[in-house]
Amino acid sequence: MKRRDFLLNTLPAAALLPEVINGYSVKAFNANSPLVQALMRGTTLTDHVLVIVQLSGGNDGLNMVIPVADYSRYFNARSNVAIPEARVLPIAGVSGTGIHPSMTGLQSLFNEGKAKVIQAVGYPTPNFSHFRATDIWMSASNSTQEVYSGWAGRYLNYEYPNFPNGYPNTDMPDPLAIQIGSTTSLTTQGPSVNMGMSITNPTTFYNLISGTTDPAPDTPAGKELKFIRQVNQQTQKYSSVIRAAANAVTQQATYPTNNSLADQLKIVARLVKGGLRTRVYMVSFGGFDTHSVQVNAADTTTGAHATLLQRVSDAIKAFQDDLKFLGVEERVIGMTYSEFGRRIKSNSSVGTDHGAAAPMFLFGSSVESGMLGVNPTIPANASVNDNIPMQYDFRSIYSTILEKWFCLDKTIVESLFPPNINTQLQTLPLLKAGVCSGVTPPPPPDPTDVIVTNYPNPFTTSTTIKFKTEGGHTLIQIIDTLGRVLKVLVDRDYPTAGIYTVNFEAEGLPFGIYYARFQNGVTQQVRAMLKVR
Amino acid sequence: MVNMGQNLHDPPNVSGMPAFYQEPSFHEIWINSDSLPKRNQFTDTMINTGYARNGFRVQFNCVTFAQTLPNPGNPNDLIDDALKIFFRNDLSAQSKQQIKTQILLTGQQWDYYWTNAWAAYVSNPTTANFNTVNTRLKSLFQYLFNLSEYQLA
Repeated sequence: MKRRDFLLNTLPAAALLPEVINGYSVKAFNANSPLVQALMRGTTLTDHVLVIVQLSGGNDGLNMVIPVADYSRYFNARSNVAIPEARVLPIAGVSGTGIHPSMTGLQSLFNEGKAKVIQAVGYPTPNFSHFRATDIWMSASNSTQEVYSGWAGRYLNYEYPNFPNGYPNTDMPDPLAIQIGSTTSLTTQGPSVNMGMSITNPTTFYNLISGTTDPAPDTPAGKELKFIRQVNQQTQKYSSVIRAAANAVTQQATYPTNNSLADQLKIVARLVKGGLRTRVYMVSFGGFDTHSVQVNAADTTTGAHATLLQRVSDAIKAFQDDLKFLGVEERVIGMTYSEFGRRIKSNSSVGTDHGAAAPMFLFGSSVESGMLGVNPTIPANASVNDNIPMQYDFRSIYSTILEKWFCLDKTIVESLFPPNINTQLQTLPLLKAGVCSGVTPPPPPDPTDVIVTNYPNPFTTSTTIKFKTEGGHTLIQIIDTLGRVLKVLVDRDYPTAGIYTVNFEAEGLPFGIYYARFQNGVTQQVRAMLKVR
Repeated sequence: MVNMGQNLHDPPNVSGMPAFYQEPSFHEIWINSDSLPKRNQFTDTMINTGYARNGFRVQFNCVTFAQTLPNPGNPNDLIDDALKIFFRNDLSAQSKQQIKTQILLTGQQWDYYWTNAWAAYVSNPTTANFNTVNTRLKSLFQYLFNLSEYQLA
C-alpha cells in the first residue's frame, strides 16, 4: 500500500475541518494541520539534490565555450581577447566546439561522461542591467514582468506547503534550501515566505565556513554580544541538524585551496553526505564583469577570466570527485549560470561588455553528457551591438530539471511558472533516462481534480478565488495563520460541476498570509494568499 | 510587550513586574530562546509587511529611510550612516565589505552598479526601478536587524 493511500484511507478528510475539531485548541490545529496537509498531498519521494552555481557579473560565454568550427569569425570579432585555436580544449563526443584551455577539470568530466554544455541559453528581450537580469534569472519571469518569488521557492512551496508553519517536522526535519555564502536570495523566495536559509546567516553557523563575524570586543558590550550570539545559535531551528550532518562526515576528497567556490562546494558535499534532505543548494562566485583586461595581452589564455574559469572548473571537478568518494554521486546534479553573457565583439580595453545569451554547464553522473545546441551564430563583421541569439530559454532548463530530476508531473511544473511562460516550456534531453524510475511521484492530478486558485496574489484589499467543483456540497473557508476560520465564502450545493469564482474581501484584516480552504466531496485543497499594502 | 514578558496594566502581583534579580544571569534573562526569535520576527515583519490596525499600517519603509541619509547613492556611505543610527558599536570593515557586496551589489564588484540603480530610481521612480533598490534595501535592513550586534543598540 502506498503511503498516500494509507493516509487517505485512515485519515477522514473531515479531520481537517475546524468544526470537527471543536474542543481542540486553536493552537493544536495550527501545529498539526500543515503536517497533515503535507502528508495528504504526498511530497515527491526523491533524494535528488540540485546545486545551483551562480557566476556573478556576466560570464563571457564565448571565451568559455569556443566555436572552433567558426573560428575565423570568432577571431575577427574579438582578436584582442580570442583564445588561439590550437589551445582550445576539445570535449568528448563533440566536434567543432571546445572549452577554455584553463578548464581541464571540466574537460575530464566530459571525458567521464558527467558534463553537458547547453549552448546560448537566454530569454526574449534580454536586460543588460546586472541587478534586473539577476532578478529575472532567479524569478524565471519575462523581462517585461516583475515576479516577486523565485523559481526554486515556488517548487519548494509546492512540495512543502505552508512552510514555515509546522516546520521542521518528522516529514521534513531539514532546511528546504541552503544558500552558502550570502543572504538568502530571490531564487528560493516562495509566494509568501523565503523557503531557504543561508548558513552564513549572521545568527547561525560561524564555524562552518569562514564567514565574517567580528570578534567580540573585550568590553561589557562585548560580553553581552557573545551572550546574544550564543542564544541566537541555540534558537536557530535548524542549527542542530546542520551541525549533525556536517559532523557526520569526517573525510572528504581533496579540494583546491584559495578557491572560494571550492570551499562552498565542499560544504555542500559534506551536508549532502551527512544526510540532510535539503533539495536545493546555492553557491555563488563573482568577478565575471570583465569590461577591461579580461585577458593578458601577451597570452590570451591567461588573465582574469582564465583564472576565474580555472577556479570554476577545478572546483566542480573536485566536487564531483568528492561526491563519488562519498558515494552520493547519483544523487546530485549541478548547474552553472550567469545573469548574462557578453558581447560578441570585444572592446578596445581588452575586455567585453554586457551581452545576452550564454552557455550553461550541467554536471553530475546522471547528466546526459555532451552538448545541446549548436555553435552560436557569429556575424562576419560583428558590430558592438551584436549579441548571441538565444537557442534555449532558461526557463526550459529549470522546468526540465523539475520534471526529469525532481520527477514532478509536467502539469505541476507548468503551474510553477508565470502563466505567459508556462505554455512554452520545452522538455530538453538533459538527464539520463530512468533517473526518475524508482522515485515515487505523487499521483498526477486528475485533470478533473478540483483546483482552487486566486488572482491577484499577493493582493491589497480583495482577490478573486476561482475554483472547480464536481458539484454537490462545496465549502470555501478563509483561514488565518493561527488556523482560525475568518469567513466562509461558499457553503452550498452546486447542482452541476463547473468552474466558479467568488471574491474574498479582506478589508480590515491585517496584512499577512491567509489560506483559502476548499472542500468538495472527499477532496480538499488549501491555497495560500498574501495580503499586502 | 506581552511577548517580551511585560503585560501592561496586568502585573503578576501588587509589587509589580519582577526585576531580573535572579543570579547569575540578571539582566540577561531578558534575552532568551523565546524572546530573541520574537524580536527578530518583529523587525522582519516591520520590514516586510508591517503591522496593521484599524486601517493604519506601521511599516519600516526602507527606501524612504535611505533617502533621509546624507549619501544613499554610495553603498559604503549608506551602510556606514545606517550603522551609525542603528548600532552602538561599528562593524569591522571586512563585515561591511561583505554586506555591501552580497546584498547591495548582489555579488557584483563595482560600487557604481548600486549608484546607478539608486540614481535611476531617484530620477525616474518607476515600479521596476523602485523594486530594484527596494528588494536590496529590505535585505540589507533585515540582515542588519538580525545581527546580534543590533540587539545591543
